Order: sequence, then structure tokens, then C-alpha cells
Amino acid sequence: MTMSIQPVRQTEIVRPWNGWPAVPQKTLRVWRSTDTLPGPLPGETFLPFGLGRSLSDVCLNPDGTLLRTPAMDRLLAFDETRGSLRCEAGVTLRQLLEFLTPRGWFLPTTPGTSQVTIGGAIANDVHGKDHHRNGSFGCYVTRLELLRSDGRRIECSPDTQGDLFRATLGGLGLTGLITWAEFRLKRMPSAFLDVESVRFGSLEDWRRVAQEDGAWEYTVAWLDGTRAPFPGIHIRGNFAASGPLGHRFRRGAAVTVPCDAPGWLLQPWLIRAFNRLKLSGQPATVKKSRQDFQSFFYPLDRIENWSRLYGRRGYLQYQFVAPHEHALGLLQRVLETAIAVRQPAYLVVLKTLGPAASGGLLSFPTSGLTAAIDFPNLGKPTLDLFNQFDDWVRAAKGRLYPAKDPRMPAAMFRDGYPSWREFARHVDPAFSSGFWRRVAGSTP
Amino acid sequence: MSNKAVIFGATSLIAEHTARLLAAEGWELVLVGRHREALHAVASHLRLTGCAPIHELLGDAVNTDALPKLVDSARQFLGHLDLALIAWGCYHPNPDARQSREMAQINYVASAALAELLGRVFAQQHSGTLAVISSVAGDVRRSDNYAYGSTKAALTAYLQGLRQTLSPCGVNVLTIKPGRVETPLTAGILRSRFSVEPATIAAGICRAIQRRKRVVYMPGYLRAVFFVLRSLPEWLLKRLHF
Repeated sequence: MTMSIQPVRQTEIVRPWNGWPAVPQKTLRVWRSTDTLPGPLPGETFLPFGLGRSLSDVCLNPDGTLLRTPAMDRLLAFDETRGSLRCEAGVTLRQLLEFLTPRGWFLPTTPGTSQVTIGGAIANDVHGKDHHRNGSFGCYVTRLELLRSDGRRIECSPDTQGDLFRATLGGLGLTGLITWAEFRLKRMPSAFLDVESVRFGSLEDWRRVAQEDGAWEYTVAWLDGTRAPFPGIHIRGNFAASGPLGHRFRRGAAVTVPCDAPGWLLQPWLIRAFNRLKLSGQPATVKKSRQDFQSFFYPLDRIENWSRLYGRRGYLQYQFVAPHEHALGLLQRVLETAIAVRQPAYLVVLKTLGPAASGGLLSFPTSGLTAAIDFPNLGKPTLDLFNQFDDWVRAAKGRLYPAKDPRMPAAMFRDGYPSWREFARHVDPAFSSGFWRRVAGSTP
Repeated sequence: MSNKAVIFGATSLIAEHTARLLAAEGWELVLVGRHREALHAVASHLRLTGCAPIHELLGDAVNTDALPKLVDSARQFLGHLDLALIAWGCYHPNPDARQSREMAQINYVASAALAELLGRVFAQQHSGTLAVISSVAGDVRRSDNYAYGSTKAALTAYLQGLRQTLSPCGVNVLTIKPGRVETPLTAGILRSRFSVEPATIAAGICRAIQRRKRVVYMPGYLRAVFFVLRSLPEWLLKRLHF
């Protein structure tokens, strides 16, 4: 279907999920997977933009145009015998869950929010609480279609156009617009999970707890980064072997944060108090419970726009992955330094990553331990602190997550992702992002 | 027996979202559109999420003479008709002669001719709802959209007459007047602060059909706004640069 009129580029302020950086952006909407792209204006570059849940400029294109994809929200085919689904790239995980779960199917793997699009899940090769067993989302993608700026539609799969396919998994939207994708699903025996949460007193203690994860499919740890030796709660769950497939599906959030909170709202003492409260909420070492999948996988989806609590300057997340032998020492050093310079981490999440890889050239997950650490954005002091961390992460043979990092220096990226030059060959000449220009420079 | 509807211009986003709501309630649908692939994507989604049959029918508003055949084909699929929605439309911000003719053809000539045909079907049945998407632009023409607005004004006027003719037969004619909606139709002009999403309009359409409304504005506050604007003298409108 061709557009009979040249669509107007709208200008709006776009912020990534962490609220920083906020830039005026030209945007265009893409309405359906069968549409053609509008012809780029001279020098114009495009970047697909779904729900903007990444925490960095991977979803921004300050001098170019964003292609907003959420109107491409159609399910195209569902093969119940093989357990595979084909849909347009703007379909959200929440929309999919509403369709799949009553039929006894679940996403092959899921990140910690259901408010992302399929296109975004592929472009960032997202991982979830089951990565140690099941790998990242890209491992389950069987086919997808790319719409390139020259008008070509390229169907890619691991076997046909395999190189382009692997560049597109975790390809940060730079290889063209994903119009639709097909992926494998997972059987879901019940809408509920048996959950065990184990309290731990220190990082060493956590290591011991996590060693007993063998029988658990989904695991994640939260810890209090505001005080050494970093106590926390290790959470693990399995789908209940049987039970109802339906539960009261929550389409919307329970609470909405209507606007940016004042910048002074989240003070370190408040976070400390909150963390203590959360830990004292579980006096026993082990607590067992049963939760519906929405509560278990997407607790923060209950609060719409929660990141506005950090105020106008938003927050920054530092997420690295490092091999097991170095990771805990690295994390300890990072958290202790943060406390020493009076910028304690507000939220720390730990996750073991497994060896299964999607093959994506820029995929973040790799075997080891990943820590996602949230800091309020204080400007230069926070950025200086991150630069200090960078050296340690490199020394520990680790790397950073592009989707979470609006400041990663080019050298850090090139070290962490040695395939980036090979990847660059697959980048669509009329696609670019703030992130890509920062880390790849003028290298096409 | 499930309810049955035919939707003309089914790939329009407002129509598509209306179809989703109807399909979720178990309506059997015939979707008429001119782009095979786009229509198929719309239909595929409805088949997966709804429970009654969804039929695809290729046809467009450019060829007025082919409309009777289109209506017949839709009736062959469905038999009885409970609802027909005419949702096709065309908008050019600064039309040349050819574009003006296209707008007049699609927004008025084809829509009115089709409404007449469907009206006869409903009159024979002594039941049914004919819902047609017009526009608030038909109420008051502005300097930047009077060409489009005048075609919609003609459509609104036509529907008013048709409603009078059909109401003794128990047939309801619903005129839908949306304001600015975020759809491909308006992709050629700058977004306004008052834009609404097609899904919101669709929900309003379904409500209006159920309640057998005659004329609905969407969002509802536009009824008051355009009542005032229509009552203003033209010299004042000109001053307001509306």
C-alpha cells in the first residue's frame, strides 16, 4: 500500500524511559506492516520507536526521524499445534499475553515489563528471569521481515539471509524496520507460579543461595545497595504444574504517576527506609507463595510511568555482565564505591545469565552474572562515577548493555562488542540513532 | 444467531478498531477494502481474536457502478444484515482539481450511493443500522480544509434526508462526526493537541450503534463547540481565523 501523500514529520519532545536525555524529535507513524516507508528527505535518517522503554539513546535519533510503530498491532497467524505466532512488530507483550495465556501458551521468555513491543524485544534481544535456562528472546525468533529504506522487503531467518537475521537480533533497530516477526511459544500449564523467596545477608550468602537454583526456571535477586554487606531477597519461581489458565488479566496499571515528581522526592534516607521495610517484610529465611504471572513477572507494570518518581532529570542505570569469577567482586566494589561517594544505588537487581545465545551480533546477554543498578541522575557526579566503573568492568572482562546506557564511551562499546564492525555492514544506510552515532562515530 | 455487519473501508483505522470490538462480541463480519494485503492483515487479526467468521471482499469507492455488486456479494456472505458501516474517506490538505474530484467521489458520491443501496436493503428487512463516518469538518468549513469539509457537509446533508426516509421502516441512520483522529488520513497535516486515537472513536461508535443514536460527535464535547461555531455569524468566524 502506498502513501498517497507525503506524511508530515511531527516534532515532539521524546524521552527514553529513564527520562534522560530528553530531546526534540521528528516523528512519523507507521500504520501497518504492508505500508512502504516514506522517502527519506535529504540527509534524513530513520529509527524505529515502539514504546520507548529502553533507558538510553538507542531509542532516540536527535537529528533524524523516529518511526513510531505501535499502530502496527495486528496478530497475523497462530499455529496452535507447533506453538508459533506471527504478528506485526508493534504488538506489545501485554497484548500477546492477553491473547496467549487463556489458550495455555506463554511468551518463550519475557523481560520485566510487558509494555514493550515485539520489534523492541527483538531489536534489544531482551532477556528475562529464565535466561540461565532458556536464553534470550532472539533464540525463539524463527522469521522476520525487514523493510529497508530502499524499499526492499527482506524476509530473514536463521537459514535465509542468516547474516542479516543475526545482525537484526539485538540490532538496535538499525538494520531496517522490522514489519512482522514469527517466534516460538512456550506451553503454560497454569496462569500461576509457585514462588519461593529466600532472604540473604550478603553477596557471599547470595552466591550460596543461587547455587541451589537447579530446579527453578525463573530466578532473580533484589538487594539493598545502600548498605554493606548488601542483604537482599532471592526470588525463584516455576509455573504451577496445574491450575486455572485464566486469572483476572490486568490491562491497565493500578496507579499512574501523573507528572514528574519534584527532584528532591527520592532521597537516600527514603530509599534506605524503604529497603529496610521491604527486608523486614520477610522475617523468615524462606517464604513460599503462589502468584499469578502478571504479579510475578511484571510487578512494576502496576504503576504507570513510575520512572517519573525520579523527577525531571530521571535516573541512570548501570547494567553490566561479567564472567562469574569476577562478577561478584566487581559488584561489591561498585556498590561500596557508590556508598563512599554518597551516591548509593537505589535499586539493584542480579541475574545469572546462561550460555544459550541467540547469535545476535550485538546481543548483550552472555554467560555470567549481570547486575542492573539504578542511580538518580545527578548530572556530572553520576557520570564521573560511571566512568570510574567502566575501567573495572573492562578489567573484569565485562560489558555494558546498550539498551540501558545513554553515556557508554565508544571505546567501551567497541571492546565489549568486537563484532560491531561486522554488524556495521548490515546497518541500513538511512537508519541511525543517537547511540549508534556516539559509539560507531563516522564509521558507516 | 450472531449479529452480522458489513464494513466498507475496513482498513481505515477507525473501522478496524470498530471491527475489533464487534468481533470480540461475536459479530460475523464482511470487510470491504481495496488493498488486498492490508485487508488480509486486518482480517487475520480479527479471525484470531474473535469467534465468528470474518470475510474479505475487495472493492473500492472509485467505481460507483460496481457498488450494487459489492452489496450483493456482502449479502451473499451474510444473508441478513444488522449493521453496515461506511468508513472510507479521502483527505487532501491543499487539493488540486484531480484531488478535489477524488475527495468528492469517495466522501460524497460513492458514500451516498452506497448509503442509498444499503438503505433499501435495510428497508426491506425493516431493521438494521446504517452507520456512516462523516466529519465535524462538514459542520463548519475552515480556511485550511473547506474542500474536504464541503464533501462531508454534502454527505451529512444526504444522510439527514435518508434518515427521514428510513425511520418509518425501523431503520436507524447514524451520522458519525469525529474531530481530529490520529490516522493515515491526517498524516499529511500537523498533529493537534486535540487529536484522539482511533480506538477511542471506535468505542464511541459501538456505543452509539447500541443506543440507536442519530448524530454523534466524537469526542462528545465537540457537539457544543460546533453548535456555537455554527451559530456565529460569518464575519465573526472570519475574525477568529477559525
